[in-house]
Amino acid sequence: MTAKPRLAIFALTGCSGCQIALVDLKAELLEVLEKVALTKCSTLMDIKEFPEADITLLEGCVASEKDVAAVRQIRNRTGKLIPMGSCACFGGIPGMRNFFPVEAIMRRSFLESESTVDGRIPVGPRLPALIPHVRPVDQVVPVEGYIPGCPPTTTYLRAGLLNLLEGKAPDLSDKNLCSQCGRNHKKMTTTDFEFITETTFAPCELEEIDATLCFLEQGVPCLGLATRAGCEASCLKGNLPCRGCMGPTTDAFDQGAKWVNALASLLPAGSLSLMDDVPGLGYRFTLSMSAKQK
Amino acid sequence: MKKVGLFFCQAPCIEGPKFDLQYLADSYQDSAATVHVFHEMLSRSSIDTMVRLISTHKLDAVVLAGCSPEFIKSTIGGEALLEELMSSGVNPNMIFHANLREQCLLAHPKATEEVLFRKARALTDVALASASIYKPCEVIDEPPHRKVLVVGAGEAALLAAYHLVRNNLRVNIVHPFDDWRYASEYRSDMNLSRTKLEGSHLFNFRTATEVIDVAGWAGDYEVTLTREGESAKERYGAIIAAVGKDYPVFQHLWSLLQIDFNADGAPQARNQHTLATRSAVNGISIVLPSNAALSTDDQFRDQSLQAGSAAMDIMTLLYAPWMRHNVAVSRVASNECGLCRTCTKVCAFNACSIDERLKTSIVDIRRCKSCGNCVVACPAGARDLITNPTGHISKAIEIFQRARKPEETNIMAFLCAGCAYRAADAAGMDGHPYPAGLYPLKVVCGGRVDMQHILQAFETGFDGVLLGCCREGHCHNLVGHLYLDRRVVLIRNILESRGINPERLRILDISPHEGELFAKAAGEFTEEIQRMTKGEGR
Repeated sequence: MTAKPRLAIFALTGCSGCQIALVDLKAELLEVLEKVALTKCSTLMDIKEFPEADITLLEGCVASEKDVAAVRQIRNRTGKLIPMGSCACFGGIPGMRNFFPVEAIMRRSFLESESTVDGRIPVGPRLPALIPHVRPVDQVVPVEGYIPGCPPTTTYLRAGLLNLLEGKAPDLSDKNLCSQCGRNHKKMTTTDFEFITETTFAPCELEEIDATLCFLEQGVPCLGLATRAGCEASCLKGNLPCRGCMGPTTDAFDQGAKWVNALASLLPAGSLSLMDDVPGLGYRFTLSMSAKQK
Repeated sequence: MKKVGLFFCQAPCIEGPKFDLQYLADSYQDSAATVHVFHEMLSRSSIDTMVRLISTHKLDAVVLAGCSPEFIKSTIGGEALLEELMSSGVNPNMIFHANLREQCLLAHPKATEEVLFRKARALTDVALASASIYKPCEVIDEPPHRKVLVVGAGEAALLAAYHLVRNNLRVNIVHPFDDWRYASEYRSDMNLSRTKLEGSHLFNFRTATEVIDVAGWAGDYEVTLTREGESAKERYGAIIAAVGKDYPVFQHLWSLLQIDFNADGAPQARNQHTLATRSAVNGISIVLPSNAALSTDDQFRDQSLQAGSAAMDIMTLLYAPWMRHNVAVSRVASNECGLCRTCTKVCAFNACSIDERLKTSIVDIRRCKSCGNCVVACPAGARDLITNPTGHISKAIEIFQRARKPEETNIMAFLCAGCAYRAADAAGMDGHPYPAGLYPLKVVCGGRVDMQHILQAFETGFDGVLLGCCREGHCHNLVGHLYLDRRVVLIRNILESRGINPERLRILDISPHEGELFAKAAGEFTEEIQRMTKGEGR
């Protein structure tokens, strides 16, 4: 019928934000769509079955038995499988449930939450069972590249798509986000054995945030230094610290641990551990790629 | 594919249980270019055979499976072996050790042959894996500066300076006090030497002066001296710390010169029997305090003998036409450096800086002591250490993980080369056994321990992780201990959130001679973990 490559876009467990990001390409999306035959995309068309495709962008993490089956089926029916967004690449936000066993999560969600009245844990043949740990796509089937981000910025998504259409893998920077951030350093440039601040803050605790100075130097935990570049530091330009959605850099295999390695020499460990959520900060997006629990 | 020579020593020095070494050696026939079992590695005929094998097989790397690398480095015979291996063409960074004597046979005298064999095999596998992961280091040849800095103002400092000046080396003596400090009994003799010295244009004596920084290597040290608030940089070929019994005054100097301590907190020689005035670093000699139980005369004689020995070490070194330096530094992958400046913040030696033009962080090879602190701290993973690459640590954890028996209590031990690794050696040497489920891995410094590797060890199934490092204030690299402590505070949080009892991670502060303490701590830690795993599950 046509020589255009067939593009499918599919979502596992996630928020569909990445597909919305794709639609956010607006007029530019038309330019992309001219080059492909779109065979599935739930934000744009209504097709239930997963068709055959040359390129599949897969959103969301593998969280249930239904997801596992879907991923395997897609793998068989697609040429290039590319996880899109942090859930598919690293497990993402839903991956944080790996801190707890499934039973505890079900109990908390359906029985113990403050708003629950007469709660019960839902069961039934149509409800897919949760697998013990959330997994990124590449822990279930092999993949041909990654487009990380929560969601990926439209520029990055578009560049990745165009790369794919030229037969290349999407570009991944090897540098950390500091290379794109452009904020100034003062205390980081001198060696002493003191921390660069006396205590740490959440951004909302600061009366004023200096938009030109490194967040760490203002005592705000920022994950940019342990995070792959590629998003053009959009959060930092909006005067918010990086949360690490682009995942660890090429030569680091554990974002949280790498962050801790660096942070221990920069911010006071005592006040950091008082914040009580070093793991939550360090592994907001990458817990399930880090802990390969059986 | 690198060609590796695997050389075993039968360790005839050990009585007691052994495993079938020949059988172990035979199992490596396919994984090394040549495998050879020597009756005794540190003998003339063995060294000759090794040199011959290196040239016939054109070997790139050598694995010495026998005694501890620290033992080899600190003995005259071992030093000769290493020198001959290097001069026959093996890169200094491509000589590896499997510590089958101190940390296997001697450490577990009651273990069964099966356990010893399994552990020896794991240690050999780890050393052999190095050969494929390590890269040769750059070697620089330079003529030395023929100028010596002597720190101290006692008899020994004066006499060492006297010997050096008589041999036409320039000497500066500096010390923080106002005048010389020697006992009045020897004043006339000392004054005479002093008169002679002060008449020489090669000699210079500065009081109330302190050493605040030392950078560089044997043959070319850049020393920062400070006097009355003003500091100046000077270059020296070598340094003698001849402070004798004044050693407590010089605490900061011992860290700058990377000198170890003994049980009394006094500086310690590389080998108290045969290399008594050499420190662990080439180009730095020391005169130790004399035994206080000796008579004043005997103490004086001891100090003057040490001064002579230290002066001779330095003369031999500085009269060589050129000196060879192994550039063992942290390497930066400039395509991965994002200029976050963490490395410039953490380096205790000011060896890291940012090249604004090339847009990358760079390393000053004369300042870098290859402690690996910046490699761990670099959040982008853009740095790696030539003498202890990240890839090898991960590989070693994997190998040990495969070697362990799930039914025994397994501890992954990261031991710093300066103190804890030598304490583990001492435990073996002094006959203090510890459980065989402890798998030792030498890392260059406590600051080299990456939290990623701690998580990896727990995730691959180890029951406990032991981090062995120096006692506070004794770290050769000034901040290794400090940063390890700070990192561990945070990683404990992360372990707990993952359902791993943070008590399963332990830091052991230890000095190199504390073998008994090492064995005791390893035993107690194993027992505690057994209680933990039996009781609460994880």
